Amino acid sequence: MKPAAKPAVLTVDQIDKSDHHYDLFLSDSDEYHFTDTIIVQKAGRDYRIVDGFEIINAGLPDHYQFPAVCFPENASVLTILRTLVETRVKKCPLFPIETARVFQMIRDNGISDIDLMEILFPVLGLKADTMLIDRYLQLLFLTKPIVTYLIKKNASVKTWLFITKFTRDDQSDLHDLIRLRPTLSVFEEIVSSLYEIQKRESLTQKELLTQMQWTTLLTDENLEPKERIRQIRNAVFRRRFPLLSTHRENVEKTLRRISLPENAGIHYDDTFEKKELQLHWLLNTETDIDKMRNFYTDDAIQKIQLLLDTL
Amino acid sequence: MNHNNRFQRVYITESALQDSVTGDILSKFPSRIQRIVPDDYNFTADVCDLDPKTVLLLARSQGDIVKGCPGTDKSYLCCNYQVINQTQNCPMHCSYCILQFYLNQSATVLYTNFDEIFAELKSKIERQPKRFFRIGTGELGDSLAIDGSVLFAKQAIRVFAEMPNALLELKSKTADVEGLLHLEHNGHTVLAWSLNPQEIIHQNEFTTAQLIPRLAAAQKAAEAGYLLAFHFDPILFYPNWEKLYSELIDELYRHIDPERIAWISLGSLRFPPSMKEKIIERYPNTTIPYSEMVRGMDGKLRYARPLRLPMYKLIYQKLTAVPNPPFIYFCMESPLIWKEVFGKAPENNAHLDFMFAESLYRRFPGLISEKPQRIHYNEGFSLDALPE
Repeated sequence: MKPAAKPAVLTVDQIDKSDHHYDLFLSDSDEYHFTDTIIVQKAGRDYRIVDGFEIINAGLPDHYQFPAVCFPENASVLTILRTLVETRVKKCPLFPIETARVFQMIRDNGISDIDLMEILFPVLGLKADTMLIDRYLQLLFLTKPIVTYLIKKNASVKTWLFITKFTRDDQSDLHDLIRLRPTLSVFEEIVSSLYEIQKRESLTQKELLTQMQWTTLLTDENLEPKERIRQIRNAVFRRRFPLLSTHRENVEKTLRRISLPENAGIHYDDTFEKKELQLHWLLNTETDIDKMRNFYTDDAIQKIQLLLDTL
Repeated sequence: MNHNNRFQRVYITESALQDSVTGDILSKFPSRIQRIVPDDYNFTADVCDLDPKTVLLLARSQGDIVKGCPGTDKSYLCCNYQVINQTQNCPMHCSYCILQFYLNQSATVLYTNFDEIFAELKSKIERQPKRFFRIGTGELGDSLAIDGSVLFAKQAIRVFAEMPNALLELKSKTADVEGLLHLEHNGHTVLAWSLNPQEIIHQNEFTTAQLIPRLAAAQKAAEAGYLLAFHFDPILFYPNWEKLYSELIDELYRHIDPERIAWISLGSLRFPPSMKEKIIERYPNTTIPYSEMVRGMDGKLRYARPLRLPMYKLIYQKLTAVPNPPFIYFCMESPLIWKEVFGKAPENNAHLDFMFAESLYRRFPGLISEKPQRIHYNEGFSLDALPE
């Protein structure tokens, strides 16, 4: 029978503060107070913390007593990790990087992938697929700025795993972008496009970024960060969708030739699946109506026709 | 190329064992990989580590398998094609193939109750005697890649030979048609091939027949009196697409007299967005998911119109630059594209269906006894639908 955890009352001085064996999760000291339950494991004369590392930095006196759940010294790593993960996910889902650290610990302890999958995947809500373990482990090679950014933006697992397609060296090129604090969706759009361009054009990232003047643009102190992001986003889109971009530019150029009153707008489907224009008018006053009436000259109609043909 | 040896396991349901063709199909496989199982046996767990392309299931069909092609969203025109889903999945490996993701089943399925399938077919066709049907077996699999499919095709050719208002289309990427050449088809079977330039075949259509063997097989089929069809689908964007597709059409017409071609379809690459990651995972070296694709009106990713329009125009111009060119149509394209390439578009799916019949009536005298009337198509219904 497997040794089970038992409740105990401990004092702070019974904790081995230097033992961070199970310190796998991001510190929640900024956002949370104590975890609900302190989980510990007997380790020689002392106890090692399994969950609840916040207690170490809480400035409590040595004789302070607290309730804990205590695993015996011979409890298996997998049993402890299952309890730990169960406790954690009840509070909030794990960040992918935390899941990766759990997997790494399991691998380091010689536990089979099958056991890992059977015991932990259901707790983590993962689909049974041994390939996933390796994919998660790749997250451990992400650079620190990228990990910090993805955590801060609460990125999806899909995004985390996608970034592992970049080598660490290539990831460091993305730091210039991260420093400008793009929204997650813009970040995802830019990095996925960069990756796809490289694959399509058989380029290394260095070659591509040099061609696009990536660093120059992103570090241009004369431009506001937002403007730098806008410019690099446009440049990446243009490279990712060259024909579509040219087509859009032609349409925009033709559109600009139409002298639209300020209370009017012309809209088109920018995927070009539909070849149609929508003219919108904002009519509040008689002046607005006059502007509309005066707009529809032969010349304007001709230009609208040209715009429609250009779509 | 024999694809039987790709199967690592063959499951046979007890009821399928009673069908006469089952023994013939099984004779092609070593007995050590065969397992007889109850009809309701769930073998999913047995084969969870196997690619469904390598597991074969011989079973009797449950419910109707003669149906209308599902087509796509009504923003795009479809041709009211009808299908017999006797074979489900394909042993070949095309990087862009939707089947490998669309079919959510653990095995390649072959239905063995041929007599029931043909009975279902006949009863459904008889309900619309004034309409001319095009019916294919190559929608959810290749019509000729597996012996069980070929056995079905042979019997179907004979069945269709006696059906006055239907054409059978056998669609394939294989090149072995020897077994079909001597059959009495009565002109009611179309042998069809998917075509792409050799370079694209080489890079994307793994384990299929190469271009020239496909065309040589088509040539033999034509000599045996079969009508032919070709499907330029999916058309793939390559930097040198103009050269590739021009040469492909030259090669096609070098082998095949256009007058023997009943129809040619054009369709550019398209797939549901969720398939993109799966293609990349399965074919890491392919570049096709990285083209300029947009989300179309049906939600699928497809080449942006400014990209696919020039491809269609060139291919159409080349295909029609011959006397009495074949009937050419788009598979799942918008009326806008039809108009921009062909100068006109069918009014709706029923009209397109009628245009097929009208073309066949005009180009192949004797194939359809009475001149097709539009009303029979406007009032027609799919073979899986009952009229109200």
